[in-house]
Amino acid sequence: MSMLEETVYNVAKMFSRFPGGRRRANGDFSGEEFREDVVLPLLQKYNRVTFDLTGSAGYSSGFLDEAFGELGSIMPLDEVTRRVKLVAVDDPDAVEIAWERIRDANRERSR
Amino acid sequence: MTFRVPPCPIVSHSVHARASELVQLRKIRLAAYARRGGLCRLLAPFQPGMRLADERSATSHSRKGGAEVVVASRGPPCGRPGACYTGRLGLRGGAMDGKHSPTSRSAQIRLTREREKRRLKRRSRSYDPLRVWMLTDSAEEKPNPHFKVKGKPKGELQIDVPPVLACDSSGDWELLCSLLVRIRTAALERAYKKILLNFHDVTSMAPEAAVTIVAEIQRCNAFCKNRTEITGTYPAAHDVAWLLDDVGFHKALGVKAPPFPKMYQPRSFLQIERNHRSVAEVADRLLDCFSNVFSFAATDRRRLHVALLECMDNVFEHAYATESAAPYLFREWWLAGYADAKDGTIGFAFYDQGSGIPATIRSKKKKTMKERFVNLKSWSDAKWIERAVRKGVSRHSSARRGHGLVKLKRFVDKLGVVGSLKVVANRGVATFHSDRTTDGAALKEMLHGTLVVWQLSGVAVVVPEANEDEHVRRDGL
Repeated sequence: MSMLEETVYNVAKMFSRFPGGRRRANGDFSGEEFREDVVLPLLQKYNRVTFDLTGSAGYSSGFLDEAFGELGSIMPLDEVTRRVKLVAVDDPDAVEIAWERIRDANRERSR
Repeated sequence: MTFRVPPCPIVSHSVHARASELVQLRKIRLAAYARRGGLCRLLAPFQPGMRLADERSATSHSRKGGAEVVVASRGPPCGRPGACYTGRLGLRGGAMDGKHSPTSRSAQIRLTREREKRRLKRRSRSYDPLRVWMLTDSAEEKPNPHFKVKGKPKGELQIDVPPVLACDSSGDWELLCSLLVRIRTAALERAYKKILLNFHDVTSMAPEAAVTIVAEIQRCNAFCKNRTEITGTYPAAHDVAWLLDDVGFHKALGVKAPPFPKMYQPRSFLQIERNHRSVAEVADRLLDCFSNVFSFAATDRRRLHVALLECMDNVFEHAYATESAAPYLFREWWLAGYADAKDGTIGFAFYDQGSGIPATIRSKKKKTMKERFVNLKSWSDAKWIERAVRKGVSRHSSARRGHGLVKLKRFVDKLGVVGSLKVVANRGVATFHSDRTTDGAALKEMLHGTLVVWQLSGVAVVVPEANEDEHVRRDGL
């Protein structure tokens, strides 16, 4: 099955304005829930996905690690950088942290 | 894989398994255990036609009252519909080893009890009801089922609350911690029938102290409400009474709020939330309540929101050890925001009654410390807190973990006004100031849990005026 080319996913509008913690068991809108229900299905369907983090109340490090950092352990870093784009107009720190976690996960994967 | 053994004489059990069950049996290597009316498991990986136990042990067990087991298969995969495979199952362990079936009624009862005990012990290895219960989505508090209050209720105890409960110096913290310990010990360990908290002489109380006291009362009520009644006297000072009412003190005790004069204008504004999950809306709602009291810059507000979220996540991940027998309300946390017009301060306090940051780090990093950082053993609790908040500490070896606590400080670091972050846990208190300096102090008394307080001082605070309805509500009329 061929994949569609590209899509943009706004987290605040399409998932929640109040992203939660790391684990699904610890409450709604967790990073685990976001990865399993949103990120991975989108990456199966689309070749390139832009996640727009703008507009949310704030992202915890657990959420960012679980939602995006885990991608670094699932696929090679060059594939993640090619297929995933993170944008946040009002919270550039979140993007930076997410990429840091992806790189950390990738380093641990290659060990 | 287990089979229910039909009641039959102990010397000759019959186990009938369907073909589909036999397929699974082949995959499973199990020890044998057959008993009357109990559960039966196979000694060895089962193969059609094989004897279920080796000859020697079968003979040996046979002499001790071993059981003849007949496994009947019907149809594939055995290939011979209706074929029967026979073997011997030995009785292993427990009271039946080397003994014959007990004949007396009392011996049978004793044996049944022992078997039941063993059965429950076996079950707990694979099924943890606590773990399942923790995962259930319930709005109610979750008291640790491993902790049981003991003793019959007896007598009354009056605990005099100190006149001033501030949270500035280490002496203040020690005073507060000792009060919390007294309340908890009296309610949970000493089994008093009634505990009276005498607040009458209290003239001043820090909001974070009020939060911890109310949390302690709520915890004690959760464990021993039916045995111990906790009640209290009204403070003479209206400011303290107003603060206690705001924080939910009177509600926790199940009493009406004291009457306030019609002209009384509160000096403080307090909002409190209590939960046992990471709910980002709660943090946002609290910050919303303070939008009329103090105007946050958008970035500051986001940093504080993230810091509160990190605290909630930390409680879930680390604070309460599920294997502990301590009187925990699992995953419970208290979050309060307060503003004081007179002092010009605004603060947020996050409290959990878990094992505390230093204790958690020590227990999780015990092995690592032993191997690599022998000198870290001598670190005080304050030092551990400082280290954890400055650089991050994780029990995981992964570089992806342990970044949460660092975020607590970021809010204070980048604040435009004078502020501080206080983290109190176990026997240590660490204060991080907005000018990047840090104070640490050791406490003689122990705080069971972690209290994180962000405080902004020297700010113009507008406390909403209490209207007529507010007075009426508080008067309980």
